[in-house]
Amino acid sequence: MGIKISRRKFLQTASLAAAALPLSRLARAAEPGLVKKPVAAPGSFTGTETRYGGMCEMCFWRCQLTGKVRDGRLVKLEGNPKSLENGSSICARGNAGIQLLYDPDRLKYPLKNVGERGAPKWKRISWAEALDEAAERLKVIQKKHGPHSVALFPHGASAFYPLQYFEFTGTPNISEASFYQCRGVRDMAYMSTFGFAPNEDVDMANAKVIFLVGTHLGENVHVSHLKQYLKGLENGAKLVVLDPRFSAAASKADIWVPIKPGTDTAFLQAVMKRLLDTGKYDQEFVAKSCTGFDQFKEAMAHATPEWAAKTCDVPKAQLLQVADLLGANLPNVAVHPGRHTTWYGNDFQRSRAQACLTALLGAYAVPGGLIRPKGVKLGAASWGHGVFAQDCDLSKFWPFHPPGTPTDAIRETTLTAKPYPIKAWIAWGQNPIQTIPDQARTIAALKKVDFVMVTDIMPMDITMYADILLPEKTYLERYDYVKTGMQWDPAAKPQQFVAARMPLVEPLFEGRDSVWIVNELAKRLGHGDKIPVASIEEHVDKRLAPAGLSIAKLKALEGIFTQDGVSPYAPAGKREFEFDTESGKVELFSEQIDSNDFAGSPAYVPTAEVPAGYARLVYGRSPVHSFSRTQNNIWLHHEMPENPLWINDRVAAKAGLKDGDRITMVNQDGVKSRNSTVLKVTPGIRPDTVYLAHGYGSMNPELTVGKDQGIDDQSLITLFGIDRETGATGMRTSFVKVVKDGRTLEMMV
Amino acid sequence: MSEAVANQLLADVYRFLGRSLAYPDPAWLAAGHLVALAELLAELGWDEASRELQSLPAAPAVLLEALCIEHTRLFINAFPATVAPPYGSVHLPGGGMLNTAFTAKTRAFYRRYGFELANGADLADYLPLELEFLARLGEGGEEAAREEFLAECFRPWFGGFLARVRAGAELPFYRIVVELIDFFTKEEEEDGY
Repeated sequence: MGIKISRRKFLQTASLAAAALPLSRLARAAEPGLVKKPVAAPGSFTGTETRYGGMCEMCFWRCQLTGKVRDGRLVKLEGNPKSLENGSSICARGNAGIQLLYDPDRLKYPLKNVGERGAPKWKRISWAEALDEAAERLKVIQKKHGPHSVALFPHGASAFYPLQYFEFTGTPNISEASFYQCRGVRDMAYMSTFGFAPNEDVDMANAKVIFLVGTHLGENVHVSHLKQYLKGLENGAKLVVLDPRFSAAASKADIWVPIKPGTDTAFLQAVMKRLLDTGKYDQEFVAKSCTGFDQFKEAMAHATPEWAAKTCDVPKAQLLQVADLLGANLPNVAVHPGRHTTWYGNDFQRSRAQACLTALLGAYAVPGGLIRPKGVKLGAASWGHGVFAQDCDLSKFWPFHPPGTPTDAIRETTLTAKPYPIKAWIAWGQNPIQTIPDQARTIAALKKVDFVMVTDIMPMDITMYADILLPEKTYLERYDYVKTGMQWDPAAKPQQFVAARMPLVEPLFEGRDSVWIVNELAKRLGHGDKIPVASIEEHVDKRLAPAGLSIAKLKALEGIFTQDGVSPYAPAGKREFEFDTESGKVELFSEQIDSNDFAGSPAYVPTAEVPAGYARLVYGRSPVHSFSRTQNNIWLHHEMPENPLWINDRVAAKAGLKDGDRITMVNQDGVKSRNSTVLKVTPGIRPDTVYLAHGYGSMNPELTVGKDQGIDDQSLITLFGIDRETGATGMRTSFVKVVKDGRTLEMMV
Repeated sequence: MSEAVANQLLADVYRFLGRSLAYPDPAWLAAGHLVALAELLAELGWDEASRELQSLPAAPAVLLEALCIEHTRLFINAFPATVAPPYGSVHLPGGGMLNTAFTAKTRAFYRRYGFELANGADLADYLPLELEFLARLGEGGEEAAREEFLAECFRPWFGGFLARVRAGAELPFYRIVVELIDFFTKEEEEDGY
């Protein structure tokens, strides 16, 4: 440094007085950041305060929290002891919420991209500037191309309000990953069968048999759900797991069926045929509460054990063992509906099969069965339904699609402008680059539109493509979600609860909640007079009002209201129920599905075979990560910094691969993984299959912890299926080879 | 120049440098901030920095835009990476997090000398706040406390921050300001530096 004078001399220099004047004037005009207060003696200690009303959003389960706050700083998160679900327990991710709150990489102020999409150059702007620009650009697009030219990709509790708003403006082009790349298939299949979406409301705690189809509890962690699962196992429930991988659940199973990927429906059909053939099904429940039995039975007739054993590549004896175990323990069988169910593009039929198996076993409203928890009635405050232009509905080709529009339809319409142009993409808490297969097409669509707006908490793959990037408050700094439900163990004393998310700490920086952001946008787009609530607090209060509650009352109740509830079990002996289906009964054969030219009873639709030399890429959950949202969380990263590739030991040996080798991957289309990972060589996976935990390997280098860590499974999924009934995205349909030291290796036994 | 005057001048310098790290706005530029900085550089005889400062765009709107982008890139959010978040806890060994126990320690230090964060103020270990605190201590004649604060709450992290700004700054303005902060806060040696 070229300063030619010492600090002491500088301060002593008389001539400085003149120079000091403008500097001093400017210095003293500054807004003070510190104010005078009485002196606190050294060693003064600010006590730790427990704050109630927190609700986790590290995943979608939303455990209720308390926060230990010291001097305004959140130092620890714990479960709220009053919670009927998680109690005082929270998972690793829940604990690590503090790190999200205090992550230096988090989005802090509204940003404008003055560079290119994909290589942004950010400029901090004011909220007024950001909202003015977003509104102006949306207005131009809506005026020229119609309101349906705006597409929205929402996710998470805070996205409910923007979702309502954009639908109100007249766009049906809203696609939630939680439906189209997750549970939408399951929900629609169960609605077509039982008339309601099942959530994960299956009474594992009191089951005699727990039957998991691909669900890998233990790696898939939700506290009250795991409490139910573990209580069931403690009580002696038999566990049956269908999974091509020796998952955490498989390791606890009485019967692990290492099934060939994509053939689960065939297995389920054969199980149901066996139950029918042996008469080991709940005949009273089927007679009184189901319809379409004859057509259903006929549809299962082909599913012999021999056929299924060959199709599924499992021993016939094991298949029969599973069927007989289920039949011997009916109706107290927990046929888990799963959650992420968009696997092969034939998934509606598999979920239908799970629902029909549940019905065949009479496993409804009984201990161990599918149940319908009854919470407290809540209110609503809504923008109201939008009016869509004629012929703008892209979802019409999928008659059983979940709410919104299939994601791929939006992307293809964006790219082709057929049947009409889509010119703006808005992502709200969703990272479509890691939720939708074929990232190159997603990026092409993002580059094609006229405007991209993203609202998030952290930099994500998608935020790299934003023109305007808006920071939300984290879930620890805001109000939003109101949750109701019942005690975690359905057999315990019936209780109900209501909890609302309340901030545990003051917000940092300039994050805003979604109601504020949407209202400000709506005012600028000419909808100021239609705003349903002035604030998120008002929204929460309206939700709570029918229960006689308010934010203030909940605060006084330490965050959770409880009252006596209703048992989810039917009275003993009751086997006749009315369901909210077209027939009023459980539809083992659905006229509605049949009349839309699909199989009215669960049908097996084969998925593409693995090409020679490749392995099928399947993916799943890590207990310490939630999708791509926790990639940058340094505490969670420490626990599992990358996602090892599971590979069969015989395949590895033949390819000359060893456990711990660092590898990359290439898929059937020549797409290479951006990063590397390590190999986990194990007999615990089928030779035709490899496995990665999802949610690693972000392409956004702004994530200083998560960047380049592990392999992004989605980057390798370029071959995908679209479920014919629902339009959901099947994503276990791509094939890969391992690359080591530049050599692409054949995946052969 | 008396010690009191020198202390006041140093306090003003701290405040001025802290103010230099605020997000740029038209009023800030119009008030002559760059002129004052140039005069300070001249007094210090730092000719190279003076010349670099003169290389900044002359047109106010262009200059403001450039400074806003540079400020965002250095201190807020940036692609491919934010250069140097101006928070002490981030730069401590094993840090990488905002609002840690170190931040609380810094705030406790403020309280020991009768100061509290104003409403809406940033985190306690935000660099401009620390500079303001140093100014306040100087104005109060608390030289020993100033040295203690620098030793305990400032210097442990500032070197890491300085290195990142040195390496990552594209415009000279923020690098000069941060070098000046270093000059006015580092431990005095025998020769007075």
